Order: sequence, then structure tokens, then C-alpha cells
Amino acid sequence: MSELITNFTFITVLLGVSILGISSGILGVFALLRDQSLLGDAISHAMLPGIACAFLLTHSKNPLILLGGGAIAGCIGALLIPYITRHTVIKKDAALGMVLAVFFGIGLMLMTCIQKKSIANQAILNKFLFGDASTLLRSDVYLMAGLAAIILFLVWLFWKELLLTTFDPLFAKTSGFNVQRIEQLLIGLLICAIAIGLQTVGVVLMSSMIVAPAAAARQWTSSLRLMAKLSAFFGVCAAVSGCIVSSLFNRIPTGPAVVIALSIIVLFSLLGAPHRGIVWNRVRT
Amino acid sequence: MNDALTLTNLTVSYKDGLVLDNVSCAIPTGIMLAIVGPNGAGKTTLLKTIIGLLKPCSGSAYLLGHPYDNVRKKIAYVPQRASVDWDFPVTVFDVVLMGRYVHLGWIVRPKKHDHDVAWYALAQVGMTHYAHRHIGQLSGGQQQRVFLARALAQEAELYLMDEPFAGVDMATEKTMISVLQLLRDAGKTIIVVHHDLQTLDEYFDWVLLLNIKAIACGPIKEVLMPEYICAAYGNRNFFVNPRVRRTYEMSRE
Repeated sequence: MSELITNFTFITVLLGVSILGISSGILGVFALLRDQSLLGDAISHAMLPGIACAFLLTHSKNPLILLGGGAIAGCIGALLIPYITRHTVIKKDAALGMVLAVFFGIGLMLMTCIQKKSIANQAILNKFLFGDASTLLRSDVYLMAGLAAIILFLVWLFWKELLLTTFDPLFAKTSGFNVQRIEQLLIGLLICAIAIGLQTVGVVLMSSMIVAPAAAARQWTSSLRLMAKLSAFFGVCAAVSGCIVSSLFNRIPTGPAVVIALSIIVLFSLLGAPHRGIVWNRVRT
Repeated sequence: MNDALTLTNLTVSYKDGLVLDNVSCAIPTGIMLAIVGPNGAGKTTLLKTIIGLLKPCSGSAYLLGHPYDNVRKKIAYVPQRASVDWDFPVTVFDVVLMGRYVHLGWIVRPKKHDHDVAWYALAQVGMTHYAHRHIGQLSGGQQQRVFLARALAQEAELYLMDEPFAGVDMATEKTMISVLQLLRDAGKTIIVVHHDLQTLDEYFDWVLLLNIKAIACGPIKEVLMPEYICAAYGNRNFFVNPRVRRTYEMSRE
């Protein structure tokens, strides 16, 4: 353990997962409050075929290129959902599920194709499925930090608009704010946050990094500002502890370890939080 | 001087038919108007169309002599209380401050002046002590007061309120009415979707009787006639309002 902490690569890895925890924790607050928790899940799954396509086309293992491909596919998936609900009789939850399954299916098919072709560097694709924090490089962390800085800046800049459109979209519209623009901004930021986490947590479990810290934070506070900070804090705690566990026990991928850490935080918050926790309410009645 | 609201042949339809049919009326400034009519008469639809949330099939709505987009800052809209999630993590003061956002526009943060206006609005509805409470801790009446305070913070000329008295206690109803009457006396116009015929002539100056079509629109005394009420509600609510009953009985004699 003490060996781990002084290890230079390990510090890089910790830095990376902390950035992930902060950015997805903060964005998760808005996803949760706007009843869009599943959107993150659909987008992250939709990114897999993009990553595979980018790899097929370039044979590169540069995360910038792969995540770029993933982001394009994520955008297409996110745009498809409102398109489906508007032009067919299919409802939103079904559209989300369809986009998630179809894109993920295509992604898995492409990955099998790539494996059969035995292209060099193809092993890198597997870590996008369940995540592997131990392979994070310095350059990866720089990319993650850049994306996180964009997210934090834009959330800070549009805080007032995010608050208003999330709380009361009708009133926001009559106050002259374009609700759809803010929605698009949030989806763009969500794609950035997911891109940050893909190498560490993987497409399958990434959505939990967005929903769980926010859900836990909501239990402890009724202030949006504090909720965002707490959510970021929980995100960091879970990402760091999951990362340490997966480094200590070599065979555990990081994604599942992070999710288990998150579950413990959520469970504790649901039970023990004052005012909203189950135990609190039991004792009071 | 411009009318507060001018509707010309306003027609709105959803998939399953007409919701508003050829509604026309002119409402002067400085009055309190109630929009009344049975369930499904299109009262909420009318409000939403006036402020551009719904597109009419034909006809037009002018507010203070202009299309809505040109006078947005002067129009305060109070949606139905149930339209938002009252478990949302904001305080009462945060919500009232949102009334200032229309004047701020994108990115700009509320300044001292905006805070002062919001505090004054809270004081007007008697909710100063609740400023830092979470909105989830409020009663129905208090929630409605907060919504009114948010509209007051906007410092508008025309107030459009959707069922503000639905499910509120009597004290809140009286407080809100006196606040609105002060606004009217200051020359503002207040348009309220109302469901209680009993209190009509106690609270309001004008009435728009609506049932898909505009049955009648004018000062209370002219509109609360048996034949109009009958046309809007059928015979069912014929005697609900005491004034209607009196005029009916007098005409029988």
C-alpha cells in the first residue's frame, strides 16, 4: 500500500480518477434533477461503436482519436432519441432503451470483427468496456483535465440558466431563455464527462458515475450549490477507493470496483441521512 | 392608450379538435379580470397561447399593444403550482430571485438591486421569515405566495396567473387578493384563471366567460347574466352566484 502511494504512475492514476469524480459528480446533479439519469447510460453505450469505428479507420491507440469517434457516435445517439419520440409513437424511455441497445450491439459486433482481424494495439479496446485505471498515462490525464476544465467553466458560467431551466422550464421560456439550447449544452457536457470516464470506468458502468453521486448528495442537502459540491466529493471518494481496490487486487477491473464503492455511499446516504434517510424517518415516527 | 390585451379571432386546436374557437376580446389596462368557464373550456390553453407557449392555428394576441416577444419583460406569468417539482433543492429566496432573470438575460448574475427587489416582493406576500427555507417545507398556500412573489419581483405591467387560488387556504387567498388589488390601483393589469363563481364579484372588476368560444367579456355587472352563465355552463351552475340568482328572480317577477 505505502509502495502504491509513493508510486509516480499511481499518483497519475489517482489524479485522473479524481478529475472523473468531480466532473461526472457535478453534471450528474443536473441529469438527476431533470429526470435524465438514463440519458447518460444511453450516451455512454452509444459511444462504443464510435470508438470501434475510429479504431478500425485509423488503427491508432491515441485516446483523443478514439474518444473523438466515441463522442460523434454519442452525439448521434443523443440526437436520435428526441427524433424518435417526435416522429414515431415510441415514448422517451423506450427510445432511450432502443438507442442504448442498438448502438451497444453494433459496438460489440465491430469489436468482435476487430478481434478476428488481429490488428495491432487492439487490446486497448477492451479497457473501454469495463475500464482499467491502472493503464492511465500522463497524457490521458492531461486530456481528462482539459475536458473537466471546460465542463466546470461552462457549468459556472451558465449556473443561473441551468438552475432556472431545470426547476421551471415553462417560466424559463417566458423569461426569454431558450430551454432547448441549455438542454443541448447539457448533453454536450454529458458527452465530455462520459469521455473523461470511459478509459477508467468503461461504457457499461459509466452511467453510475453520473447518477449515484448526485442521488447520494441529494439525501444530505436541499441546496443546489452544496449538492453539486457534495456530489463531486462523493464521486472523487468512490473513484479513488475503487481505483485503489482494483490496483491492490490485480484481476478486478476498475469499473466494477468504483460502482461497488458508489453503491456503499448511496446505501449509507439513503439509510442514514438526516431528514430524508430511512432510519431518520423511522426513528421520528 | 393601448389595451392590456387584445385577442383577435384566436383559434387553437390539438389533435382531437378545437380547444379555442375564434376568441376575440379587448381588455383595458388597470383592471382585474377573471377568466372563468367549466373544466376543459380552454382557460389554461388561452393563457399559454397568449404568452407564446402554444401556437394558435389562426388569429393573434397583442399584449400592451405589441406581440408578446417585444414586451416579454413587462409580462409576468404565474404557472399552476403543480407545474414544478417542490422537492427541488432551492430555497424560497432563490425562487423569488428567478423573477429578476428576465431583466438580466444570459450569463449576468443578480446584483444588489435584484436582491432588494426580491426581498421587497417576499415582504409583500408576508413570506420574509421563510426566505431561507427549502421550498419543500412549504404548505400549498405558501407555495402559491412564493410564486406570486416571483411574479412581483419581475415588476411587470401585466400579470397572467393560472389558477392561483387552487388549493390555498383562506388567509393566503385574502392576502394575495389584497396584493393584487394594490397592483391594480397602481395601474397594472391582472388576469387570473379562476374557478370559483361565488367570489367573482367580490374580487374582480371584469370577467371573460369562456367555453371554447368567448361567451362574454366585460365588467362583472354586464357579464354575470343568467343567459351568459347558462351558455357557458349549461343549467348546472345556474344559481351558483348570488348576483345571477337575483337578476334571474327579478326578471321572472
